[in-house]
Amino acid sequence: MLSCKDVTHLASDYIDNNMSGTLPWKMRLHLVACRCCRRFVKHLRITKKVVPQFVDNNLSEADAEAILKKIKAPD
Amino acid sequence: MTKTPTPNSPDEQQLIANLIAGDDRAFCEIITRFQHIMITIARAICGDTFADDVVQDAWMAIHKNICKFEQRSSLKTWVITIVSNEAKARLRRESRKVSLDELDGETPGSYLDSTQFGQDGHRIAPTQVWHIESPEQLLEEKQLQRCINKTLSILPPAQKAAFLLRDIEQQSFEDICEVLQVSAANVRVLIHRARLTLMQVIDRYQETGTC
Repeated sequence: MLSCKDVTHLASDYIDNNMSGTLPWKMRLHLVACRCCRRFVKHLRITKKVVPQFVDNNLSEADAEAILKKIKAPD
Repeated sequence: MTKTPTPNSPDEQQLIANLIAGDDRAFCEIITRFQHIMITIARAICGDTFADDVVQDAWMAIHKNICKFEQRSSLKTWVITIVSNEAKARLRRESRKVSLDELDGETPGSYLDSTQFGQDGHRIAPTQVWHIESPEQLLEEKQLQRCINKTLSILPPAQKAAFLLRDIEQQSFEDICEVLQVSAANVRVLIHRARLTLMQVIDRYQETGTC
């Protein structure tokens, strides 16, 4: 039987379907029995879904133009 | 990187055609789109000192070689491969080694901190209840967005790069290993730690309404 500590370490592998053998079954077994870990995994899934939508990685147009200027006229 | 042909969308094909034709606006568009991930990858591979130079060299290589881009991968994958190769080459030239010390030990107070568990490995304290669990509702929290972006900006470089490549850019684990030159097991640890740090931000926000 996995412990809560094991589940905490393996939670991303579980939600990414990155587990093999009997491990997914052992995870499910623990999650059925442990409400705290169920909540933990649920929160991790929400985090994985929400965070990418919060991240704004785009550069401003002015910054992009300044970089292009540098590329076209090095030194 | 994966060599299987990736059909690019019509929009992307048009963008590539414009790039090959030497259209500056198209080039600005890809700078806008990829500069952030390129800097993140360069920092993860060769550290802060060389990252800006490496990215500039990568852009020059992309500008020079775009006409040779055969579309055997997506434009994004091609760009990521170029910056990763530039960073690895710089690292070799400088004979430096960037240690992945962010894989060592557990941050005190993090979910992985051993003190959170009893000797039997079970939780000492219950997992916090979130009063907002709907992703749609969470996305309306502007303050939380600021907290997330602030935390992301201070994540250790390899964690940030692995997280962005996987959860934002949707790259495969195999490709991330190759881009960052780390083992599959380490990529998984880096992504997990980044997610847990970001989850802790949401945890704190749910409890206090602040970062």
